[in-house]
Amino acid sequence: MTPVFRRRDKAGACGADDGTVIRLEQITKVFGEGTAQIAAVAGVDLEVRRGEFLAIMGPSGSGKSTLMNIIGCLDRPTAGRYCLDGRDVAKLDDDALADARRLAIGFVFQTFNLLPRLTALQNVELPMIYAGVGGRARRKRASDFLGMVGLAGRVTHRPNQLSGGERQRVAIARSLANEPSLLLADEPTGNLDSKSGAEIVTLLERLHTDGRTIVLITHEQDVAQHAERIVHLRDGRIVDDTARLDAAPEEGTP
Amino acid sequence: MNIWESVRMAFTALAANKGRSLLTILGVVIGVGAVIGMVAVGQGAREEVLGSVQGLGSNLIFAASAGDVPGGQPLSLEDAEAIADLPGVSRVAPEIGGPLTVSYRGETSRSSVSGVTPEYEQVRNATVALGRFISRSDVDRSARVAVIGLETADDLGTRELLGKKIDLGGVPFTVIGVLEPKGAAGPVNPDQTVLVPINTAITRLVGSDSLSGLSVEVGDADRMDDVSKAITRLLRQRHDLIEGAQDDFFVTTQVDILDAVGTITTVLTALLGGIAGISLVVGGIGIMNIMLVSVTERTREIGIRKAIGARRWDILAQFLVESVALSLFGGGIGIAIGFLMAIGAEPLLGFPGVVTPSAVVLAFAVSAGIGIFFGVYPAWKASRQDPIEALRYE
Repeated sequence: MTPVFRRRDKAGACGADDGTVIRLEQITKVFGEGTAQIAAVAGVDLEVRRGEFLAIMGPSGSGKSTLMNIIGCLDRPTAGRYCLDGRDVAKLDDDALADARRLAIGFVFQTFNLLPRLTALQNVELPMIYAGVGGRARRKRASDFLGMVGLAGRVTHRPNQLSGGERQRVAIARSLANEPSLLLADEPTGNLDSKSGAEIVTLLERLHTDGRTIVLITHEQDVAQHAERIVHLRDGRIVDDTARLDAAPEEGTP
Repeated sequence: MNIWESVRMAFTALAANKGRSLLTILGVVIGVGAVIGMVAVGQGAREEVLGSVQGLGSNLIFAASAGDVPGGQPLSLEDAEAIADLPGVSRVAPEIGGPLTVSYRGETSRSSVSGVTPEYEQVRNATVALGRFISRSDVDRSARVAVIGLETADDLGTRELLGKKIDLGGVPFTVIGVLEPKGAAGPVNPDQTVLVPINTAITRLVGSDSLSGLSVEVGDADRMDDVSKAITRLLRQRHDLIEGAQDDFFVTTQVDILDAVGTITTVLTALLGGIAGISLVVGGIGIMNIMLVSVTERTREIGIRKAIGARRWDILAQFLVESVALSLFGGGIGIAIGFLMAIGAEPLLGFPGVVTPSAVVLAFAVSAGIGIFFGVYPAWKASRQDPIEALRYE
């Protein structure tokens, strides 16, 4: 999992090369103007180490989604520093943020967000198309990833021919396509029945065991229990940061 | 992202909405088809008219009396003979006559009857299909013989007229030849004509020796202007025109006529093409409209693509390629329809439309341009979508 930024020169170096994937320093996001200003995120400090499996929890309105948009490089913070993979991404322009999303981050959404007209294989190919991976290599990698999430026999199916759990697994395969440094899962089990949900959590655990860094946003306690560390968010601030002692020790990471 | 990937994505998207895509390109199909077809008709008219002017002969100068000049003299046979002696002139063919009723066994034809000399055959490119042309001795003897055009023959009910006697204004003439058809050229139809020896026309038909016109063949195309000026000088001198007096004749070269015809048909072509071009613009607006609808409909798709790392340019290219593909498809089909219109024009107008390669290239370039011009705004709008907003869009 090599950090890849096409435009290294645009993003200034930040943070020591100490195995930190995410470092948030006093991240603040303010919406509105003048007296109507609301700070959705109010000074968050957070570090996520390579290979870590972190869950962010909090009630609705706690700033989870805003924080997740900032971590996912979909949005810029109003103030603060955000080092992703040793690069300061807080002040990047739109295209540089797109580069970060394409290469450094893999998204898994609550609503899957697959393109309905494309097959499972084509959906997984999509991030690689934007990364300029050639056709043959792309199809091979896409079908490898689909095999890895247990959908080897479903590559030509379209999303509406797949169950919810299967769709989410396609989305996970897609998020892995460009070998990102960070897997960002926003309520990945929110739209699934408990059995499919459990399968998805098991899959995420397996990806973590393989050495991937995962940030999971959820409001379900039993889903969060699978993470090594749980951060609670309230009114835009971190109110609790607990490492679970019984979590499986990391393997193969420094 | 590779441009071929954009093209593939665009075609997938267009194929997913076949009905709508087809209706959208219909506007461009009609526009391009109309432009190609109309320009082809204009070009066809141009070539037809130019062809018949050239068919009159080559390197010709025409002279005729200017009827309404006070004290003016008509052109005479002597004038024609004097012109024939000018340097650079190869042949002169004087003409005398006008429209007359021709009849044969009760059938009649309103034809142009001209008294001519044997030179007419070469100067005016009049080929005899059957029989022979008027000879010098026919002229000298004022023989009552005639060479007729094919349409006149058809008017008279039979093409088997060789050796038969036809009636010209009450005088019987023996048909000695039938002209090869040339096709209509402007106001005078060279196929609806009867040619007789010039002396016979003067004595039997017209009763005066005022020429209706004369055609001069110049040996060297480069000397057309010189000879034309020399004819003007000679005629002014022969007609005793003082310095400053108006010419009592017209002198026109074939080049002048070709230029005039060329100008008129170019304007005609531009006019037809311009009117058809309006429908092309309307077709382009149709593409823009559908692309705007498509961008709104696919907001969520745009959000997903952006979330997984598509840059602004990637989104812009995807939608731009879609609109260009639509307009190029339309342009291709439109060109085919324009060809059909050009072919279909022949039975209706009597001449074929002419589709030039430059018109096809232009139509293709214009339809690509329309795709870009009318596609840029919707594509730009798509590329500017905020990924967070777009992902929330239902």
